[in-house]
Amino acid sequence: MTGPSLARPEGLVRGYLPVVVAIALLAAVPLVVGDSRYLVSVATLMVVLVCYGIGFNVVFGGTGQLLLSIGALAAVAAYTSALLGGELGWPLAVTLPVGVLGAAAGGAALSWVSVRRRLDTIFFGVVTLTASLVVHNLLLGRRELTGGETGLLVEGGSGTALRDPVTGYYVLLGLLAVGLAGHRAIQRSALGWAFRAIRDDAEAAELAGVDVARTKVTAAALGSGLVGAAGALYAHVDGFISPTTFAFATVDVRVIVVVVLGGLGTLLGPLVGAVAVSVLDELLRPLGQLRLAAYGAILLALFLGLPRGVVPTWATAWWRLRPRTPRGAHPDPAPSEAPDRSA
Amino acid sequence: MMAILLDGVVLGLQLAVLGVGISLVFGLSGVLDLAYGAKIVAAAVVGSELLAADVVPWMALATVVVVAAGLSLAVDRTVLAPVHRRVGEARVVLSLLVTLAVAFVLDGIVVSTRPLAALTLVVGGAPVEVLGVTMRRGSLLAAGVALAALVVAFVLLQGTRLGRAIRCVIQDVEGAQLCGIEPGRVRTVVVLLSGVLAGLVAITQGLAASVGTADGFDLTILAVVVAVVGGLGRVGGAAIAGVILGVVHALATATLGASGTWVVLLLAAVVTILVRPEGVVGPGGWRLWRHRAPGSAPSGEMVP
Amino acid sequence: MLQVRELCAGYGQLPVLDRVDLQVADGEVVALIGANGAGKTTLLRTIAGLHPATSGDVLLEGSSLRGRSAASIARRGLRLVPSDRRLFPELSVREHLLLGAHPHRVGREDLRTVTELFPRLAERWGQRAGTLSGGEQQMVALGRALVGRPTLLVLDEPTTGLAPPLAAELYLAVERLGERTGVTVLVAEQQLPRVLALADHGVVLEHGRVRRRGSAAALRDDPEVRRAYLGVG
Repeated sequence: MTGPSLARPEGLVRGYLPVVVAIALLAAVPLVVGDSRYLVSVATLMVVLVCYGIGFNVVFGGTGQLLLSIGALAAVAAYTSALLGGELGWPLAVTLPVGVLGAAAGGAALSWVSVRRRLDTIFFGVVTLTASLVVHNLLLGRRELTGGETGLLVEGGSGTALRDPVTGYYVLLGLLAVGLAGHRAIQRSALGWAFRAIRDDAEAAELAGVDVARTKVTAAALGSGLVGAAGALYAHVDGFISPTTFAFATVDVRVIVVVVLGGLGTLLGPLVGAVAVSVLDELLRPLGQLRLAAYGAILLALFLGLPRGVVPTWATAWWRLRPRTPRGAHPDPAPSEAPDRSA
Repeated sequence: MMAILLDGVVLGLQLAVLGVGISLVFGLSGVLDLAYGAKIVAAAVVGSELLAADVVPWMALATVVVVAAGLSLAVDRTVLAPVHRRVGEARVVLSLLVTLAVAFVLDGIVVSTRPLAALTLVVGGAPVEVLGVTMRRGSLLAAGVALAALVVAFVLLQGTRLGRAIRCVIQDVEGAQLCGIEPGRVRTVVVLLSGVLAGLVAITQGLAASVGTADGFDLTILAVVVAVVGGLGRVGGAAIAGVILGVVHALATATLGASGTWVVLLLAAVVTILVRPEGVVGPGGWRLWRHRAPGSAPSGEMVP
Repeated sequence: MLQVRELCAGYGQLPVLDRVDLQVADGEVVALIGANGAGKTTLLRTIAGLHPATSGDVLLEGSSLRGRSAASIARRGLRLVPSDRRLFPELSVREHLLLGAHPHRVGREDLRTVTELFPRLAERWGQRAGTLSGGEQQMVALGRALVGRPTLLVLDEPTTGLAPPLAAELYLAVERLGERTGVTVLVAEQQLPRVLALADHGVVLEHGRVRRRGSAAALRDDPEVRRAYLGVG
């Protein structure tokens, strides 16, 4: 996969086939579980999680920036749009984009600062983690505005079709389709090539003419934008948000599991990971608090056994098993995506 | 005002131990232990169970320290072994994720088996007056233990051959090997030392206030903040930063309240990273972590 | 004392050393000559245990060093002073020298030997190594290796970055050392004249293979060696 794509019709179809298939499968879900409000809400949360995962994947899997502020960025978008709609009465069509822009700007700012100060992974991780905690504490503290711990009822979208569980699911699925297609488009474009170059060796990329700084900030903006969109949309679909909805323990931790499980940097990784995590969540529910320990154990088994995640491992296996075709344009990126360079 | 300052120093000494414990391991191997707080809590819970079972207090407390040290070593030898085989950025990222997972496991087990456990050590006797301020004996004892731990750690690191070997491995693994020092053995000692310090934090926190099952994450964040402000990997810096941040904490709590205090501490870490990543404390303290040139591996890199 | 047999080593897929054979007898000074990239540093690092050999063996006083850790090789008396010195920036000169015999204590006489060889170190006794000049750092590195009474001293381009008078001083020290203690020395150098004056015999390494070996005098007079490494003829 090199440079800007000379999109031949087959290339386009073959390239986006995984996206189409995935969305089609997910679109069928309400047909199966549509009767159960509970299951639809679980499915909706799963779709939101996939969106978060794609955002994180683009930023971390794409450019190696350990953005530990996913929950906080979603919260920024959600609370901004909710409050603008609630306090100032602005329409959804305005508040949602504003929220998304806020999240995108936040992510881009974090990235820009770290690029300017040449922060390495640990420092960037610490900065984004503390930013996340600061946001969390601000949401808790500014009770008059945000409702604090008790949460906020979201006015925007109330009384509309958005609040219908199944419709809400499809709206978020629409966002997911955009996210997947967008990620796919990036992968096939010059930007995607820049991502891979940076991931392999940032200095070499710089020398090869890649504007590393700009690529990183762009990735952060795009990823954060998607995360914000998911958070803000979810707020209006569900109708209620609180700091816990977007806490580090609720969101970021899950996102890390999802993305690592599914495969860092891959297209469908977040989807596979989110499905697995959602299913696990339900299966492990009887364990109660022990669930956290179970996640930890699974993560450990993954990191140490399947460090590149499920998708690349299967992709490698499939790559080795299937007969070589002359123009093997493999839908998923080649198995060299993972950050683990010692393999 | 004096009351706030003294409270701050008491807390600060404990934060110093926390920071030194996490900074030592980071300086040695580039592993930022996100499970540090969880280990402290796990050890504390074991202590509280023993005390509830009427075990002699000093034995229970000794067990706390042993459990913390043992946990640290066990984790390092098992789950962290693959991390140590990696180099550079890959090692850093994997270590963050692995230690985070360990934190989940420990926290999860503790919260699900003993959700209400808390280590609270009550020290009998009337409050003591220090510099015009009435202080609980528990707090003074906590400060004393913390101070003693810091002094012993420093004497060990600066004055003994073992300590010198540790500082060598931290500054240059290969150079240390060429002197006949086995990095693996030094790592064992450092991990145990860090674990002992963790156990001591459980004890001092139990003396000054209490350690409950929900405190794991908070303790880890505090440790990271202290270590960052002191300069990641700089043990001397971490100690000083701990005391300073303890006073800051006390001042902020008095003026801003709980969540405001967190914001202040977190911002202190962020500002340090952005303005002076080698730590707020001057270059006089030892720089155990060489801020590496782009592209080269951290000095904690181990030859497989 | 040291026997290197058919040693092969490389980096991943890239082979660097190809069946290198080398002998160093007790008390000898052997020069390892070669251009940049010839494999001198890789050879010395492999001998010292810092780099794994893919095949072949290294024997120190008859026993094999294969599979031993670098630290254990150092403790057996083989001390490498690498070209980048590998000092501990925050430790003082004194602390460096006290380390040299890890895990044993360093005797007073050994310390005196080093300070007599390098009087400047005594002046900088308490100073942090990170603040020393290049020449002084090299002395500390050498002193650190010597203090442990090594049986085999391996020097990788010890005069790199040193001004000529300092380089001369260093070699003088090594010579006096040899006379005093009879320590065996294997030294890699690009600066031919100096090292050949000191050495008993030498080995020329090219592209990871031994191209020539012989007594120092023979190498000095060898026309090819002169052309390639002395820029003469």
